[in-house]
Amino acid sequence: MTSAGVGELAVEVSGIKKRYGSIEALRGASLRLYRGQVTALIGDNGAGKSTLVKAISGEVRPDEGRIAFNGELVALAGTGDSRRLGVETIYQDLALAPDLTVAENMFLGREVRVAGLAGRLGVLDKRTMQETARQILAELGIKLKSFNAPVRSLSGGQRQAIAVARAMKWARHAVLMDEPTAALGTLQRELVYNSIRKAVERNLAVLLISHDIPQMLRFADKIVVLRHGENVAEMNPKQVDLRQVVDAMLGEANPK
Amino acid sequence: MPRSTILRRSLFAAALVLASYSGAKSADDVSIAFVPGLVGESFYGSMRCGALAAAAELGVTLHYSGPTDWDIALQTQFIESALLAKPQGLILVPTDGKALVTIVEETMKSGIPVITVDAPLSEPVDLHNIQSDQYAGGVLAGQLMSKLVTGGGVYLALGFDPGMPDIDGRVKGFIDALTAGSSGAEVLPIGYPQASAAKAAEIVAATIQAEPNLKGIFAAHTTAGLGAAAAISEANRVGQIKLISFDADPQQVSDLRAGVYDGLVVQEPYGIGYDAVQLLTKVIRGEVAASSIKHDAQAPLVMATAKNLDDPEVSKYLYNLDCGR
Amino acid sequence: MKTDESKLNRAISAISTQLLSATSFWMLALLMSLIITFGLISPNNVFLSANNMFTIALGVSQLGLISVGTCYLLGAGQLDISIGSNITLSSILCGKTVVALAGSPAEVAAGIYPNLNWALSAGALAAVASGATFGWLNGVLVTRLRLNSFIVTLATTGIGLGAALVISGGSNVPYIPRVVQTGFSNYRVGGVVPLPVLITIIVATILWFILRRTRYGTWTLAIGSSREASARAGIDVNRHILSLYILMGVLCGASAILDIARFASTNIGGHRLDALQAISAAVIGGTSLFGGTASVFGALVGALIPAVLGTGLVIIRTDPFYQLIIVGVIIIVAVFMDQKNRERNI
Repeated sequence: MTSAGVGELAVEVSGIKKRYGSIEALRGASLRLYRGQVTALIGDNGAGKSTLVKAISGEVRPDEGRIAFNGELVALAGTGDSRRLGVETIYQDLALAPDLTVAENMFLGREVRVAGLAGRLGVLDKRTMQETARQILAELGIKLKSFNAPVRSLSGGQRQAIAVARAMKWARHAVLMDEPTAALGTLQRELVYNSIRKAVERNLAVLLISHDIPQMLRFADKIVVLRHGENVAEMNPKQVDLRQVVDAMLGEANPK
Repeated sequence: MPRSTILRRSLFAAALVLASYSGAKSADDVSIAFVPGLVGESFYGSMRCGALAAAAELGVTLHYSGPTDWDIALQTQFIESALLAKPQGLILVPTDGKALVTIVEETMKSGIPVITVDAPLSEPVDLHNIQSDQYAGGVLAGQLMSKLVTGGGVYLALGFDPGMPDIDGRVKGFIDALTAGSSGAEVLPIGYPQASAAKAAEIVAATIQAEPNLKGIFAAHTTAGLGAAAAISEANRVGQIKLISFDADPQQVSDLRAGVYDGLVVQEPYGIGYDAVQLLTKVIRGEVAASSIKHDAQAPLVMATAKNLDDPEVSKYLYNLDCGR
Repeated sequence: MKTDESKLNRAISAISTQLLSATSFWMLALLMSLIITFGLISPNNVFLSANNMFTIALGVSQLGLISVGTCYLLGAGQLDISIGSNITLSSILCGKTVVALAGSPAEVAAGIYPNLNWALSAGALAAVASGATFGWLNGVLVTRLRLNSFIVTLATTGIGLGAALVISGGSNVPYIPRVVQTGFSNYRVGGVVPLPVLITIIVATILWFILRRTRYGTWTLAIGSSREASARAGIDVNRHILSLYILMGVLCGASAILDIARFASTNIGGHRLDALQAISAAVIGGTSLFGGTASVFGALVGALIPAVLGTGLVIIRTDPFYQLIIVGVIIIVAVFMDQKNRERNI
């Protein structure tokens, strides 16, 4: 739970430009993510969605632009910085270590150590980590047959849910997700969306990149459309239909 | 030939010998290539010293290089690159007596005389072969063992790898002489530790456990001797289990004195290297006719014990490594 | 009452499932059956004697150290085939140091060592320093050049062995004081446990603890499991990998010390197969070739199996070549089991 108020600005991004050689991936894109809200980032392939998310996570350094977390400007030197500053990113490949357990994955890089000299030498407090992980899974309604099994043995949806749970545990301001439900069955999607709802309840801002526009219309609080590296629309899902979103995505190229 | 010319040539040759690794040579001088079975053992180091000494004396350039493993595939590369440099003669320790017949034959035909040392070819296509009589060396070991241990007992011989004619020859010599000289001697299956002292130690340690009547061990090469000595020491049976090994580098000699070994069969690698270079040079310079040479020559061996180590007849064999690079 | 019971049942079934799927468990069972079988068929059951067991353990001490180091490297998805060259070079430097410092050349050749104690200490230090440096070099090349570890360590195998041959002039270092064998390697703690065995057990126990219970261990396996995930989690992957190679190097140096102590000599040509044996031991014991899973205990079991086989076959006077065949089969079985465990949905 964050101490900031509901509806406050968690992440503000403006004027992001990024060029790869002769290709302009982003041409001055911007984004405002508010606590307690789910924002869907929509655009055609090559519109710059992934690049924008990578700029916020620190994986990519923008050529120009400003990024602020919780009202403070940040300069991100790598993915570790965004995590440290309270913004978690879930990548398409999930970034889970398949041979490690749920608890180990959840605390990877941020392990809890025992007190005293032993702790300073790196001895782990496995019990605390396992307990915490169990609690989080219970909160999210994720049931696992074997808690200590390697994450590899879980289903795709369960793994996704673990990744979301991990992000939720550590995020203080926002969670960014790149295509969280691509290639998942219906039941598994529900798991993921459940977790996202919990994140929102915890007063975090959530950003989703998704190609599933109908689902976004049902699920998101705000839709931001990118085209050719810049913002072209910001829509209220309750007030638009699929056609309008697609029109915005494709622009003049859309045959009527 | 006037003395000053000899002196000049010798100095020049000596300088070339020192620079021999860079392959520098002049057309006047005789150049000989020497490919040993492997580098990294004092036996061949000593052979190299003898060869270098003869080369320096005769004003000959010697190129010595060989593989780090006793392996025909590796050695073939060294032979081929040695021949590429167009030497006037080749001295070779054959790692595989059958496989090398063809290449030696071709080399001989191309006008480059080849002398093999230390091990034979399966067909005598080379000019000359000098080796220690490995079998006779094994016999010396067997004879000593019969003298050291009276009344039967169980014995173990350690080879290298099955199918290596000289090592197997030593083992056979040992077994034949032992069974002839000791009635009731029982010889266990031969151990093959290859190049691993640890493996030799494992075999010997196991044998010590299994055979309370184990009286003696023959290690047909240095590394096996190292392993056997360690295992005997670990089992606290030094002196009770007799150990005879082959070859005598400085460490082994001091161990012989200290009682780690009861005997060492000593070859004369220095003399082998020396004689090979001498003979080959004479043939290249036409001082000796190739047809007049007898094919096989035996280099002597001797059994060294702590008692006879200082006899000049024995001590002259001990491996001489003082020859620089 | 009922919930306690079912909790206990669940715990037991979870542990037993994990245990039974652990390759190291099955390999331990295999090791035990080999020991019992040889024990029964050996004359006077001599195979089962404590003396025999400790002798086998002594023979495996060096391999034990490098197998555990290999465990760590494999766990992180790395391969080091230069182990043998590292040990060879380290033992040459150790031997040269000891002989140079123990007395004048004449004294040493005569077996007199006036400065024995501190020469031995300096030699041990030289071995560990050499090993660590070699390992550091491997690590730097792998992480900086971003080359496959197989290729890098293949190259350093040759470089290391070449350096050893140049420094030693091609022959083993002579005149190493024999007291290293009689006073150290042969020494039995409490009259029973060979000192090298105790050393290996202590080192292995520490490394087992580190792997299972510390952050360092978790990060090692995480890197092998997914380098990407580890980097994203903020782990300095390159630095960690470098440290693993240095660790391996230190273990090689320690193994070199045990080697010199055992034989009172260096063994230039005798370490060619060390890397292969270490990898076999680790793999037999359940460490995955693909990274992410490692077992220190399993590596020790894996190191013992060929030694038990070799010793047993000699004791029952059977053709020792069967050992090679059997060990090869065991490796295939172990890798197959590892594969099955990976595929299974528990």
